[in-house]
Amino acid sequence: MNRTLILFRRELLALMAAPGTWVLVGLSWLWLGALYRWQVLPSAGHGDLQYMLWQGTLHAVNMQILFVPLLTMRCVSEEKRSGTIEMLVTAPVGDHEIILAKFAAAWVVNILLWGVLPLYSLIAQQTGGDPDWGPVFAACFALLGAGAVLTAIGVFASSLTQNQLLAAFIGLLLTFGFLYAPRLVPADWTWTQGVLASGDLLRQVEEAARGIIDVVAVTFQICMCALFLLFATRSLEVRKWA
Amino acid sequence: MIQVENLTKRYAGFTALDRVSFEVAEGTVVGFLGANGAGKTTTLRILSCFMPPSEGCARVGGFDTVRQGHEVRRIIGYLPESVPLYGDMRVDEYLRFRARLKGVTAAAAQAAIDRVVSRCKLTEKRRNLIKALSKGQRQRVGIADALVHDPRLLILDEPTSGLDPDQRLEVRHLIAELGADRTVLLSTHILPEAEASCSHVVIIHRGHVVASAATTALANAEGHWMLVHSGAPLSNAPENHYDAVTDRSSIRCTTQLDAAAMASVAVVAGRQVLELSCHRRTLESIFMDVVGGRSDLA
Repeated sequence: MNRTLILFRRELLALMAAPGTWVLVGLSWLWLGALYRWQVLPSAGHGDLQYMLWQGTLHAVNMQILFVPLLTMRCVSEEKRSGTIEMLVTAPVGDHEIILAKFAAAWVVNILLWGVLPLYSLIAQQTGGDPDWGPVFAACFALLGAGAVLTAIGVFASSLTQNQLLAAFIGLLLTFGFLYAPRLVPADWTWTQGVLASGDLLRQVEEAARGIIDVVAVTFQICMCALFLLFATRSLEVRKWA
Repeated sequence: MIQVENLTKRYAGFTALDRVSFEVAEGTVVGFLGANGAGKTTTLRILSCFMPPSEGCARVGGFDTVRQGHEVRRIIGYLPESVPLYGDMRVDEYLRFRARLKGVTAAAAQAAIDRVVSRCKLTEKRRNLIKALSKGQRQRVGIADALVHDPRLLILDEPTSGLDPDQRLEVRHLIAELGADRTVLLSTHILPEAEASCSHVVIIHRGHVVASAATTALANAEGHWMLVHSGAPLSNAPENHYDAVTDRSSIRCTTQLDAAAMASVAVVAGRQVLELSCHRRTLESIFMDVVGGRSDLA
């Protein structure tokens, strides 16, 4: 665990020192700010805080389809390209610890991407509104879960190749597929839709924005996150079986 | 320190190592020699637990590299051929990260960094970004990294590759110093370097070990030899002393006494001794013979 923390700190510092990270954070804050100014306020008015939260949460998830693959694309692929992965895996540290540390660092930055969202409600409260903080916390909790799943997918995509752009593209396809596959299946495919609907991350986030935290949804998110991190670890171990 | 038995590594449709066996005793500096593609890096990667063998086993410090990889990685310091480092970190920052990762406590890390920085002559560069260092300095940072947790075994994969002669000499001196208090396994295809630095050599060729012996024993395997040039054929010299590649005016001897005796024979026969020279086989000539199949010293 101690070694995971050492790796996590190095990874987080590297992410924070990269200009690309701050470009992404700046763009996501601009996106959420623009949404607040030009979509939420005109359509909902100052009074409908629930609609504001619902819209903001959905945008924060959709934004991650593009931003998370860009954030995670260098995680493992850059180590493979530069050869530093050889230094890492020949140190007394497990492959799973390397993946876990990289995931945790990217997840922290992912939280920065949408971390301004609760400010909507705070601003509303400061300007005389009375936001219901329950759904706000529930939405943040759901975004933490959804962000963890999407970040794990991004880390897995990055572990597949040495090419950062290819990693970003694979990540983009996977995150988009994971979020929208349940909604793109034709309505008459009843059984398939039923299975996919149970793993509909967007629906889970929408429900959380209404104040509902579903234990099944949380379990699903933890399992998906663990599954993709396991895939990433296995992908890193491919060198052993080549 | 290292026992390798029947180590085999197969990639898709290609056997990189074929039943390789050798041993490295504790406290020795061993040169692992071979041409490019001979299987040196594959062997070192297996020893450093980067990947497992397809067959056979390797033990480092008594630990199996597959089943006890964690223990092996704690007692080795490994420098890969390409010296991969994080260019965005400063030298001491990087060494601290690596020391902590290798299990050096936070309290002991600073002393360990001071020790390796001084030993690798990086004191003036310790606040520099790694990406701003020269290739030789980067090589030194890589060696400092391999040393920072004070490992019992140092595995260096072509540590002087791509360096200019000055830097090569510096690294060679450093390796000689390091060999005084630990086991060093040094892979190289620069043979004078191995000859200068290593007490033992293992020669690998196309995935097979073709020679493994003390450097001096290998050089003496076909002896130092001396050549007496008498200027004209000597009929009374023993047949087996004549140098096969010249006419009978040159006599090859394997001992100093023989050379003296043959010089006397020449003088008694009324010949002038034009030259009495001592030749010693170099590792390079032995290597060329061994990999060319002209000699088998395994």
